[in-house]
Amino acid sequence: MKNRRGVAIVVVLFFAFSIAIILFFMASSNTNLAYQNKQTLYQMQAYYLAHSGMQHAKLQLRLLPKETYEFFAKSGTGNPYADIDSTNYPPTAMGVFSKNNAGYDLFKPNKAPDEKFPYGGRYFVEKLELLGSHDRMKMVQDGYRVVVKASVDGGRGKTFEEEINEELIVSRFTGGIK
Amino acid sequence: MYRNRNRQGITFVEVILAFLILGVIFLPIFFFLTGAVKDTERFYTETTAISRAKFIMDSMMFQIPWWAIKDGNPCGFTSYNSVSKKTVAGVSSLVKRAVPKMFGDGCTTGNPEEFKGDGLFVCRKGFQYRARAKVVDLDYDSTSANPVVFSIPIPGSPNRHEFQINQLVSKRDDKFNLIKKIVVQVKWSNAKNKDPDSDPLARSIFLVGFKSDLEG
Repeated sequence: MKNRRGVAIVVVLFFAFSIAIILFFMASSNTNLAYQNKQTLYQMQAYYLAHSGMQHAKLQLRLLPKETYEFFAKSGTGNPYADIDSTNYPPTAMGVFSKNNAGYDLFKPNKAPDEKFPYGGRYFVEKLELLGSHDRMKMVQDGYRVVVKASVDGGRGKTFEEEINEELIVSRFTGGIK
Repeated sequence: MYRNRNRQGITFVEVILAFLILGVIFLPIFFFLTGAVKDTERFYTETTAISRAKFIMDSMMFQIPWWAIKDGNPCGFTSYNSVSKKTVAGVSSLVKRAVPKMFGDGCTTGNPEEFKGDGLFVCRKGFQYRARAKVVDLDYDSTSANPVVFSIPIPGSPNRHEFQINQLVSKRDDKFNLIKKIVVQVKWSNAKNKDPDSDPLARSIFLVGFKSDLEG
């Protein structure tokens, strides 16, 4: 007959091991959720900054359609909209994440001054190219490709980036955009 | 009498040992599960806050017209167009439907055509959230020390076409303005039925955007 003394401990240890594995996966699942929420938020912050940059570029195209076209017509090289960079102008310069931003609160008086931001980030127009022009009819239109990049400082050396690439048709004389 | 010492089964000592081990295991499991339930609720509230902030920012950046958003903390929403000097019906119905959904209770004002970007809402599980949007006009006068400039290089020349905001747009609401800075904050308490304003442990998330006047 086999000796079965000590079998209970073996069963319990097996049971304990199984539970430990389940707990490990539950814990890692919760950690994943926290991580994903943070990623989602930072990515969303970069997304809105990228759209801010795209709106800024569209605004300039609307306001200066003729000057923009002339840049390319006169064989201009490089990015004529390199100036559209949030870091160039203090009202849009968000800076990098710092502990000073930690107290930012819209619900408390004097905790959200007009010139401050709750987090750091940047948007800029990386590329503007003229795709073609159409001036055979009454409407004189130019086609452009705009590439805008944005990044958000998540702190601890982590940066989250977003890029938008759009093709636009701009009326050269009215600035209307399609 | 002869006793058979080679019986099958488990001894009393083994049973006690097994219970001891189970106890040692189950105590942290109990704490872990309690913590996990709290964590799950914490992630739920955070996800709800992120989703609400996104809804607010999407509406302000892409749906509500530039002129209908007024600066301030909290910002204002109006359907009265100060240029055409009339209430725009489409914007009126948009603002009346969207703003209460964005901010919840407390966003109304005495004027049915005007709302403020501030409110309180409660999720299905009973957690309370406060949402607020601040808008700053980056207009020529208030940023005249360092205004946003619109410029393009002139090929073959060191000069640039350079324009200040006041050269490109006429005054609207006494301002030369083309860009608004929007900051959205959603603040919530992880304790049920507790106003985040009165909770020192309340958490917050923020979104920032710059809305350009693409309608003028």
